[in-house]
Amino acid sequence: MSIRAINLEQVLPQAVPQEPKTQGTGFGEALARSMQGVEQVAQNADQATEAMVSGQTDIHEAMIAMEKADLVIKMGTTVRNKLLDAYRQLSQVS
Amino acid sequence: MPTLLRTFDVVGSGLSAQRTRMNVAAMNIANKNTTRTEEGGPYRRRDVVLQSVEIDGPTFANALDRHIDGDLSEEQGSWGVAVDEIAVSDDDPILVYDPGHPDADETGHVATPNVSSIKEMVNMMGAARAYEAGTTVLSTLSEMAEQAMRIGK
Repeated sequence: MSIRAINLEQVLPQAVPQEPKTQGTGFGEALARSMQGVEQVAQNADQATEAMVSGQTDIHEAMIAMEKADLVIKMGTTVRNKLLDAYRQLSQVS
Repeated sequence: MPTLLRTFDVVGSGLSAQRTRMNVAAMNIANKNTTRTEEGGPYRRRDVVLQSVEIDGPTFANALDRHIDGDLSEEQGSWGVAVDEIAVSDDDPILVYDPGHPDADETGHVATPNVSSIKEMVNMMGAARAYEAGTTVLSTLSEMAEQAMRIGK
């Protein structure tokens, strides 16, 4: 967790009421959750590559960021495959 | 996979430190014959001083995070490395007798940088080998992660 600066809009009561979080553990939701982190890491890799090309960072930093993205994406697809397998198995129950 | 990604950061800090060592060795070699500098006198050898730093270790935010999650154990930080300073050598310049040189003093001696090509070559090779070791750690790390993803297949 990172500590963020307090934003008034988030604190004051007139702020937009938060949507009630569904407690569901559906397949779609599990899939979406596993993809959130993937997107963040892929973005980091993008930024690192841009910084490297513009001469701000070293090659290895961009490579490490890309390697991290590669691993996290592989993990994401592994999770997706497992979930789809489970879904298919369940859909055959009849 | 927070711990795995953190190990990547630890290795990355080591690679950056070795790149700095390489850069400083290159600086020293490039200025081996420099007799004029902005601060006056000949160029002085630079040395890299490294220090271990905590990478995403038990910072306040992390500790708070873990306590909120109910984990009260003490976490050992991951220690990476960072360049603490690039020290300028205090060694005396090497005096070379060369009366024809524009920077020669009245006795005909020129103060040349206290850089030893041999030492700088050794530093350079040390940095290159350490960098290589770091990249080997990285590839082993990814292999481990991919092995882990094959569990159950």
